[in-house]
Amino acid sequence: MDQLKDVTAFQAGSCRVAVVGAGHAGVEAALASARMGVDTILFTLSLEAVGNMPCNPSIGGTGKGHLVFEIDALGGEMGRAADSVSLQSRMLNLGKGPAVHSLRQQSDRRAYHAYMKKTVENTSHLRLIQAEICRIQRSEQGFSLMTRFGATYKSNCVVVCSGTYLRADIVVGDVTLAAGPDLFYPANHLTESLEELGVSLRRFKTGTPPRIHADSIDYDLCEEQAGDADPVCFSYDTDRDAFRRKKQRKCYVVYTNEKTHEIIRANIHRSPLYAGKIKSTGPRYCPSIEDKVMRFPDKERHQLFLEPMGEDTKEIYVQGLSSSLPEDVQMEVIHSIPGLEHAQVMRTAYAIEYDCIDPLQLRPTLEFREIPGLFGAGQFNGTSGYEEAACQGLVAGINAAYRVLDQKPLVLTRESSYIGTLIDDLVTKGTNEPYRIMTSRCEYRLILRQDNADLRLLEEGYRAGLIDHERYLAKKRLEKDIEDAIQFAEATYLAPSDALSRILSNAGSQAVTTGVKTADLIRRPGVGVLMLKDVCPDLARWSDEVLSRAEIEIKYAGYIKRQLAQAALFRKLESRPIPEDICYDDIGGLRLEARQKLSRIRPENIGRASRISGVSPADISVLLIYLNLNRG
Amino acid sequence: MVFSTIAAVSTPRGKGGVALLRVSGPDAFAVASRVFYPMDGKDFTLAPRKQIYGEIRTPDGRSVLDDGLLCAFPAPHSFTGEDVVEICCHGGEVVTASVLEALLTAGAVMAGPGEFSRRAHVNGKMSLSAAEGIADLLDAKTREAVVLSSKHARGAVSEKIAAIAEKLTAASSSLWAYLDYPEEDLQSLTDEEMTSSLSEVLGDIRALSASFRTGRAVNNGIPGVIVGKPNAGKSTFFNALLREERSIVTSIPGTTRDTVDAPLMMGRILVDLSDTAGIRRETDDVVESIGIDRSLSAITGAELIFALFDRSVPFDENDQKVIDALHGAPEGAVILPVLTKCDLPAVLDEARISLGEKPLTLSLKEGADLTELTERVEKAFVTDEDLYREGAVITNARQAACLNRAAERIESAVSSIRSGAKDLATLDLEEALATLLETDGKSAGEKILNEVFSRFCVGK
Repeated sequence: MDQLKDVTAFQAGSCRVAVVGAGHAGVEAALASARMGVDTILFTLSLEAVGNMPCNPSIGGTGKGHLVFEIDALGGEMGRAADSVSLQSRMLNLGKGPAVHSLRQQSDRRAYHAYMKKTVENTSHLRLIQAEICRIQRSEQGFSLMTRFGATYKSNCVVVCSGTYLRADIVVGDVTLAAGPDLFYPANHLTESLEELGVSLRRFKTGTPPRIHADSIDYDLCEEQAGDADPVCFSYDTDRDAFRRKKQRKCYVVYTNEKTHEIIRANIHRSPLYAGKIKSTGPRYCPSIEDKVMRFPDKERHQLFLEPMGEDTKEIYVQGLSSSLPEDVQMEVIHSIPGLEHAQVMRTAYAIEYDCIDPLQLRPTLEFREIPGLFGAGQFNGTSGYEEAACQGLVAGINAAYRVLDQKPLVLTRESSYIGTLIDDLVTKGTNEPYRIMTSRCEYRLILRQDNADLRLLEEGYRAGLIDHERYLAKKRLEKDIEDAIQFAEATYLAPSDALSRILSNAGSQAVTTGVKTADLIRRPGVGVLMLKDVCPDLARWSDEVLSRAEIEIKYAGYIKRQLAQAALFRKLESRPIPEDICYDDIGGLRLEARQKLSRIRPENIGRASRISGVSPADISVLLIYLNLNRG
Repeated sequence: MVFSTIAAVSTPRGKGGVALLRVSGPDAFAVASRVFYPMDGKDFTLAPRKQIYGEIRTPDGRSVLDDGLLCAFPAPHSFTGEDVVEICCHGGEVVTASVLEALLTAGAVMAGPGEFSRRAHVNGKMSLSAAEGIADLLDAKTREAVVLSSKHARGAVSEKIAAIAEKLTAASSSLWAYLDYPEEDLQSLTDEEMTSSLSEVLGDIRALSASFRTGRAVNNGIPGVIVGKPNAGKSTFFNALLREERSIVTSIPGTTRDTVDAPLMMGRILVDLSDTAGIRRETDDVVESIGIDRSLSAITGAELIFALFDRSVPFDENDQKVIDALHGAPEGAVILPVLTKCDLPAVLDEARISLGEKPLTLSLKEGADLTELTERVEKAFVTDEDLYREGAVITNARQAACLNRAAERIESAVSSIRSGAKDLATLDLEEALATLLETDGKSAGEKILNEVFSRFCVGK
C-alpha cells in the first residue's frame, strides 16, 4: 500500500454496521440497519453524491417496477423517494396481462438526491460521513475501516456498496480519465484491500448517453410521450390524491437514421470498444449506439427518448444514445438526428469501467461465504440499475443488522419475490455482464405481481421492524377484504337484465339468459369487476382497489393454482439440504465441470444446486441418488 | 459417505439351469471370500474378470451349499463402477435363496429395486436416457423392438426433441422481447406473427407424439381382433395369419364360442390377435350368447380390427350387426374390412360395407397371399417412415404423455396471446419447454428418476 504511506492512522470511533458508499444500495442498507436500531455509519466519497442518479433520470420499468414495489413492502425508501420527486408516471405493458404491468416514473434527479440526503441525515442511529474508505481489515470485534486521512473506525459488519467507483475509469474516444460517475472522485484504494481480505474482483463496463439543452431541441420534429391520465405511485405511504393532482412532464421520441449510422460506421475505428481499448464486459440489454448500429446493420432507425432531468434544470437525457465515441463524432451523431440538428450538448456520453465482484462468492444473505460479517450490494455485486442496487442494499442492510442483533437472517427465495429471484440468480448462477432484472427471469411472475408485493413481503418488513404496526394491520385488513370479495363473487348469482346485457355487449361478451355467477362473468375476456358494480350494488362494499385485486385472482385462478403448485414443488427441492461436508470429488458420476462448480458455490440445498450453470439435470439426478443411497 | 455393500439374485425367480447373484460395494470381495472357496485355493481377486470354479459355503465355512463359478470385477471397471462379484450357482429356488442368505449373513445387505442401476448412474456408468433405453431393451418382445430401442438409446429421439426445443425457444423469444422491452420499437409485432411460429412447433410435437402409435405397435404390441358374423371365415383367417391350425375350423356357423388369442408379427408390427365368436342378432344358445358379448367387448379394447364379410352370400342383418358393433371401437382404432371366400362367385353388395377403408379380397382356401394385408396393417401403424428410419419414434407412454402436455401448453399459449393475456402465454411456453426437456430426461424432477428406475427389477 505505497500510496497510503502519507497516512497517519488514528482511532476515530466505532459502529455496529459500516456501509461503504451512499448510492442507491448504500442508502437503503444504512437506512435499514439504522432503523432496526443498530448503530450505523454511512461513508460516501462526496456528500453531493448521496442517492445520485448518474444515468437515467427515472425509477422503475419492466421488472424494475416490481423491485420498487417490493422494496416499499419491505420498508425501504426508494418508492417514497421516487413518488415525491416524480416528473411523469407511466404504467408499461398495460393490456398485456397484470403480471407484466410495470410502473416507470421519470424523476427529478437533484430532488431525489436531496430527498435521500435529508432522509439519511434525519435518521437516528445513523451517521453520514464524507470519506473515502481505503482499507478494510479484520479486527477482534469484526472489521476496522480506514479513511484516506487516517480516521479508523471499528465495526462488526461492513456492507460494501461501491457502485461504479472502484478504480473507475471514464472513457471517451482516446481519452481515459481516472474518475467515477459524473466525474466524481474514484475509489482507487479499496480494491487492493478487498483482495487482501480474500475477495476476488473483476472489471465491468457500463455507459451513459449525452445530456442536451432543452431549448435547443426542435420539438416539432419529436413525437410526444405523455404520462398516464391516472398516474399510479409506488409507495403505500404516498398521498394518492396529491400524487394524481401533480402536473406531469412530457418526454419525447426521436429516431436515428441512415445518416447517423453512416457517421458511426465511418468512425467505428475510433470507438474504444471496437478498437479494443475497452476489454471489460458491458451489458447486452443496454448497448451503446455504436453497438446497436454494428450489430443490427439491417435496422433502418433506432428509437431515442428525450427525458427531463428535473424541474430546476434544462438538461435533457437522450436515452438510447449511450456511447464512448470521441466527442466530435458524438456531436456529429446527435446533429444528424431530426429534431436534434441544433442540439447543444451539455454533458458528453461516456463509458465507465470499474471493479466489481463475482457474486458467486456470496451467500443468499449477500454476506461473503468466506468472510463472515462482510456484505456486498449493488453494482459492486455485478448488477446494473438503481432498483437492482437498492433492493440488494436493503437485504444486505437488514442482514448486517440481523447479524449484529443475532437474529435469523432474511433470505428471499425465488418464489417469494423479484428480489429473491435476482439474488438467487446472482449468488447461484453468477453473471458475466452487469445483471439487470427482467420479467422473463422470474418463472413465478404470475404470483409475483406489482399489485400484491405488500401481501407477499410485508411480513418480512414487519419482522425487521421496518414496517409499522398500523400498516401491518392495514395489510391484514386488505388481505381479508380481497378474500371476502372473491368469495362473494364466487357465491353470488346475477340475474339476466337489460342493464347486464348492455354491460356485456359493451365488453364484447355474449348476453346471458339465466342467472350467472359473478365470478364466471369476471372470468370472461373483456369483462371486469368494476363494470358490474351497476348491476351488483353489493360490490360497492369494497374499494375499487380491492375489487381490482380480487379480479386478478378470479380471472387467473387456474394459472395461479398451477404456479402455486410449482412454487410448492420448488420449496420442496429447496428444503432438500445438501450436507455441508459433502465431498463432490467422491461422486464419480458428476461431470468435471459440475464437480468444480458445486465445490466452489457449495449450495445449501438441491434446489439451488439445480440452478447452477454447468450443473446439468443429469448431474442433479446423480446427486439426488447419491444422497438417497447415503441416507439409508 | 460410504455406500453399503449390496447383494441380490440377478436372474429371474423360479427354477433354471443356473442362477446369477451379484454383490456390489466396497466390501464385495470380502463378503464373497467368506462364502466362496476357490478349488485352486488362490485368492480370486488376483484373477479379475476370470471365471473361477469353487465351492459355495455358509459363512461359518461348515456346510457346502453348492458349487459354482465366481467372477470378480474390481472398481471402476464394473457394471456399477464399484467392486462387483458375480456368482453362478445352480438354478434351484432353494439353492439360490440359501446362497443369497449366505452372502447377506457374510455382511452384504439386500439391494433395493434398481439399486445396481442407481449406483451405476451415480458412478457415471450409465446416463438416465441410456437407462431408459436399456429398460426398453429389457422389455422388448420382438427383434424389431430391439432395433428400435437401440436406436433410441443412441439418441435419435433426443436429437429430435432438442431440435424442437430449440425452435420453441426461438419462437418464444419474440414474445419475451415484446414484454421486457415495451419501449423499444418491437411493439409492432402482431399476434399472428407470434403465434405462427408456435403453430409450427406444435405441428412438430404432434408428429413426434403421434409416433407413439408406431412405437407402441413395434415395442409392446397392439390388441387386434377378428370379427364377423358366424361362418364368415374368421378362424380360417386367424389360422392363415398364424400359419397354424389354432382355431377349430368347420363349416358349422358358431364353431368358435370363446375368443382365442395368439401373438403375431405383421411386418414390423406385433399384434396380440384374438379370434372371436361370430356376431349374430339372436341366439338361444347361452354359451354362444356369452361368446358374442365377449366379441363385442373385444372390439371396444382393440386397436386393430379385421372385419370379415363373406362375399359369397348376400349382405344380411348379421353383417349389419357387425357394422353397428364397430361403432364401439375406440377412437383411432384401425378397421380393415376383409371380404372372404373370394374363390366363390361374388354375391355380397359391397356398397353396404361403408367402413372408410377399401375392403381387401381374400380367398383362404389354399395358401392365400397375405402380403397386401400385412402391408396395409404396417402402413396404418408406421405412419411416418422417415421418422422410423431415423429411429425418432416414441416408445414409452411417459414420453408420449410429456409431449402431449407440451402440445397442450403451446395451444394454451396461442389462445392466451390472441386474448391479450401475454403474461399467461409466457408461463405456458416455459412449461411447454420444461415438459419437452422432461420428455428426454433433461429435467431434474425426481419423478422422472423414480419412474425410470422403477422399471428395473431388483438385481438388474
